[in-house]
Amino acid sequence: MKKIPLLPRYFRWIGLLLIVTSLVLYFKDGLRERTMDDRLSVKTFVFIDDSIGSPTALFQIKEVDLLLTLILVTLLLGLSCIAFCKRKTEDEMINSIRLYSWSWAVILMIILGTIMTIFVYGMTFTAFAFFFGHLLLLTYIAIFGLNIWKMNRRLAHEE
Amino acid sequence: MKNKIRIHRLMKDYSQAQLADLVGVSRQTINALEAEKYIPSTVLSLKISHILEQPIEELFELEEND
Repeated sequence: MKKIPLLPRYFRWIGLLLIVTSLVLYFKDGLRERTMDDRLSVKTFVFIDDSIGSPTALFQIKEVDLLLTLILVTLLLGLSCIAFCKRKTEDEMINSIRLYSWSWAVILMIILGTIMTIFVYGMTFTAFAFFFGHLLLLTYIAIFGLNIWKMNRRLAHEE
Repeated sequence: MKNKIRIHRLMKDYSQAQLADLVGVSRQTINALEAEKYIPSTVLSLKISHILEQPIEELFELEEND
């Protein structure tokens, strides 16, 4: 049987740490009026930068504001660490719940994506687009966790 | 699909945890199997059949809607 490559169990703690880091950066940034001095300007290699007010850069080293990038990447990596880490006991039922949860997460995100694309415009839609991958992982983690909880509750009831 | 895992497990005097250890799955999986909430793979069915010393047909039974 083909096995899904999963991360060791301790990665969920690394994931939590990354999520907390990302949230701290997000709220620290969101709670203040940003000036040009607050920018986390770093020279980095970009594939494309077509920001408004500057000429389009293609495959160049360019000074960009990395704060949003840091927030998005740490959150994505954190959620991925939790979503892809092993459970204490890995067996075929856990794999089956994993597949079921992924299927439902994808279905829900397609429905949500369609609704948001049709009915939401402007900055809210842009923010949603930024977080689409994060929301998919979050939905998967929630469905998977709920199913594991229901399974454990049934076991506890029998005891 | 119906199964008689619980009956044959009790006849062998195994706890859910013991059977789970013997077939290499979690206790939750054995519990879900007995509650007919989960249908096992062929590999797991054969392992359970071997441990409980019962033919597959004795352990599992198809229902009309299967």
